[in-house]
Order: sequence, then C-alpha cells, then structure tokens
Amino acid sequence: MGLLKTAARATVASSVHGRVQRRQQQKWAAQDTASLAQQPVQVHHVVQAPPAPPAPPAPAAGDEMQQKIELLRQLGELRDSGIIDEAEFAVKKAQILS
Amino acid sequence: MTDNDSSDDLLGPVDILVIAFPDGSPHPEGFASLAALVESSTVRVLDMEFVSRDANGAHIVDPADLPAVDGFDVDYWSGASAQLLDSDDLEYLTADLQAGELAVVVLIEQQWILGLVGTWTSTGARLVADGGVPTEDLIDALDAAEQN
Repeated sequence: MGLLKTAARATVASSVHGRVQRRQQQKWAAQDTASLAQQPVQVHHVVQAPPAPPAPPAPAAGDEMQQKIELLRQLGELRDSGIIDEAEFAVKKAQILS
Repeated sequence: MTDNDSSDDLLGPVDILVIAFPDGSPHPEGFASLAALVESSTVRVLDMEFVSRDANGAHIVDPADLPAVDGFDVDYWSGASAQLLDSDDLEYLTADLQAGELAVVVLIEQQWILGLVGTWTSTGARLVADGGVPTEDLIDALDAAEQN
C-alpha cells in the first residue's frame, strides 16, 4: 500500500459546532453555524484521519475465505447504513476479494 | 437527509496549535491574524487556553489575568475557551514551556475546506473521500518513490 495507508473514511460529525459553542462564551457562543456548502447534501464529513488500528492477527489458511465473507458482510452494513456509498462499497469489495 | 440542521454538521479538519511567548505576554499580531481568519470564515476556533508552568506543572491562565498588551483584545478572546482540553492535554502540549513563558493552545477547524467542497457539491459533484495525511507517511512515500 502507498501513501494513504493510514487515511480513513470520514465520519459523521453531528452537532459538533453547536456543542462546542454551548461551552464557549460571548461572541463565540453566538457565531453563525450555517454551513458554507451551497447546497445541503449528504456528504461524508471532513475530519482528520484517526491513527490506524492495530493490524488483526493473520488468519489460518482455511479461515481466509471466512474472513473475507465477514469483511464483505460488514462492508454491506456500512453501505446499508449510509456510512459509505455504492462507489466506495465497490472499491472496498474489490480490494477484499483481490 | 437534505436539511442543513445541526445533526448534519459539516466539520473541517481540526488542528491544534501551541504558541509560546517567551516574554510571558500575548503577542497581538498573531491574534489579529487569527481574528481575521475567524471573521472571514476561513477557520473556526473551537477552543483556546492560555497556559503557563510552575513547579506544579501546567496551569490555565485566565485571559483577564494576562498582562495588558496594546492591540491584544482580551474581550474578543476571553469567551473562546470551551474547556475541551483537560489537564493531561495541557501538560503534554506545554511540556517544554519555560518558567516565565506564556503559551496559547488553540483548537482550529479548517472551515475553508467546507466552502470548497460546497462549491463542488452545489454543481452535483460528490465528496468521495477525505482525511489527514501524517507527515511520516508522506516522507515514507517520498522515500519509496525516490528509490524507483
């Protein structure tokens, strides 16, 4: 893998600005929280990539397909819940099966 | 989900900045620059603390207790603290602060990226991926690339 081995998918950052502002005072609590996006769309939020999780232990030879199936199942759940879209699902699915 | 309500909050990349003032006073020029970035919606300040160290370690300095400096607007900055940084954070971030020095710790959101993304999404484009790149990974990639 190349440069982006630790980059991760962005996650929904719900209500962060409101929650931060409620803890701030004066002008900071009254800041305009309107997004600068021209058009509200369902996008993945722009956040810093978290540190990479520790690598899982290598599976026994006979378990490899089971592991792939489990990864695909989890990937499908991410897609179904809207966390990733079809394009990302397709990319990740191809990676799992390669 | 098309409503721009608080549950669909867009958040830009968040960075932390720690600046030490060796003379123990806030330098107004950088704060003026930061204020300009805030007022132009380039960045958001999510948290700000002034910190100094003594024999007991790091401790927060109330902006009202800072030395008065011409050009430094205490009233503007005094409400920016959100108390998200705890004592462990401040100890870690100001470990190298010397006696007599003052540090400001700022949590900054790169708000400008949201406008850039929004310009694209408003024309029907879709944000597919985003994220931070650790410097070490960038250097590793350069090292690998230069060997080819």
